[in-house]
Amino acid sequence: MDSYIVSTEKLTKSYRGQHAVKDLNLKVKEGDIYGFLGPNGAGKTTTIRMLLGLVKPTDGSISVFNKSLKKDRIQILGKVGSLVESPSYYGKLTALENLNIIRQILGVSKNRVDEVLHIVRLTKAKNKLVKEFSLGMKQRLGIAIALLGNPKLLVLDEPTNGLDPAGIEEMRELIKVLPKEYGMTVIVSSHLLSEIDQIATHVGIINEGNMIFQDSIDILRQQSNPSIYLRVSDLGEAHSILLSHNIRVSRKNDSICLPYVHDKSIGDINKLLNDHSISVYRIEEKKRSLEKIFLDIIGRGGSL
Amino acid sequence: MISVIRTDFKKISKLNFMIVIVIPAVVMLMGWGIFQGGMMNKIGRSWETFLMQVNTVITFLIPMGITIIGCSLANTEHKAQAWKLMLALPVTKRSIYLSKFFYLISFIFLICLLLSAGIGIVGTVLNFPQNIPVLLVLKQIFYPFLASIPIMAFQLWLSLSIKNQAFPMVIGIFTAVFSYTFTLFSSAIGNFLFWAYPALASPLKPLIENGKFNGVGYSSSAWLYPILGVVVGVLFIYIGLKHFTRKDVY
Repeated sequence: MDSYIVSTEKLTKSYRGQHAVKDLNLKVKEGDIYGFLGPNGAGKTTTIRMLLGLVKPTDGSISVFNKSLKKDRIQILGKVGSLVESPSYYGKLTALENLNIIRQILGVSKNRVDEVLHIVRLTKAKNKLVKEFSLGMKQRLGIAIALLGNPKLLVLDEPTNGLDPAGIEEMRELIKVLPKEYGMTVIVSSHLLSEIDQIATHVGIINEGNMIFQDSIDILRQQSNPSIYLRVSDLGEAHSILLSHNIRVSRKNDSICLPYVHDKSIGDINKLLNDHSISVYRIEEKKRSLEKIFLDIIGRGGSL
Repeated sequence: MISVIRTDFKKISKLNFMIVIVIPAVVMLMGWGIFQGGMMNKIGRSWETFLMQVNTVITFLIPMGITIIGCSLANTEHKAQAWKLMLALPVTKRSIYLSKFFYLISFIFLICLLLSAGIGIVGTVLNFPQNIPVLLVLKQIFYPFLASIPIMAFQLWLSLSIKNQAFPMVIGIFTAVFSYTFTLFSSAIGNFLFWAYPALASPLKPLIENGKFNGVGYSSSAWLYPILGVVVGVLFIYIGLKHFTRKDVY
């Protein structure tokens, strides 16, 4: 069963009795780009820090590459690259020196430094002091450090925080190619659905420490299938007529709502109502945006 | 462990090397100045009085050096927001902590080496009647060095645990200033005040008669404090290490 790269069992972290993360069962398969989504303060960063062994869980267990993080921490971390929130860098050193420090600890070859510099397009700036870098460049250096050890798993916590639109776009493109080109599995957290929507293959949504949705992004997208709204002269009458013809409809405010149907069915329904002397004023197709679905899920706090 | 020590060297601020030069220089200048000014002529110009004078400066400046270097070593990581990076690398948390301690104790050792050489030179220049008492000079420097290991462990733990280095800095300066005052407590209490160890570890002690400084005598208990320093120091390192490896990183 265990083909998961990352799998947590009832992972819990509490601070003075308050749950920051509760009974989280996070599952990430190989080759996924797993979007970890939730509003600020939902427990994303705490979870990610637990996955990296920076924060000790109060309860539950974490396994990475089918090994227990508690027992084989060092072995696991050798194959994990991470960028947690704001980038870490030694400002008085150059980008190259920064990379070399981490390279020596990881014990990878010097060529790898040039490779990662190339991937994040910092080759030209490698001899510049990092404190003179723009935030976007610092963030890219952070990615370079994360990629340095040729990780099988890349963990990125809010990697686009504070970046300008061009930087965000660039980061997105970079994350997208990683699984294909380098066989990496990526966990990327964000509080913006739009961002995750464009890169992720799987989504986990966390709110108030609880996982409230976890599945492929397509399942989430299905939720946004359009519905048809009808405005008619007699709402009650129209409703009962349609129901008596075995058409699944519901009343919403001043409209009749039915699930997405083909053009021909709409024509039939229109004709049916006209035959019963009900005027149809409007036929509208409404689509729920993913953003709306996300807010609905969080608002409900329940499962889909 | 070796790779962590090797890479940590590149992060070290130049400030630390400056401290290593400045502290012995200040000690030498003060020791020389006191004798050249003729302040010691009444008590007698001897190696013992010279070393005694030097000692009062050392027992203040060594804890100061420990404080500043400890803060600086920790601050490179705090400022770089590097803990979340360093501690997610495939190395033990223990090696990261011990590497910092290695540099702290090495810098202080370097200071002590320079001090020993400096004392020899300045003492020779001052031209005391006796030959240079090599063993006494070494004891005068390295007894307090060993006795200050608990201070190193304590300051490093403070600096690594607290992000804002103002706090460990204030504690370090305060305890350095009062290191001599702590020696005035009875030994039952004094033995628990590890800040007093470097001063108590001096093989020489001032003879006070009628409240006046009146020559230099030998301390009978100085040998105890280097030993106590190592024992308590190792204990403190162990406790600090336990705390460091267990605490959550933010």
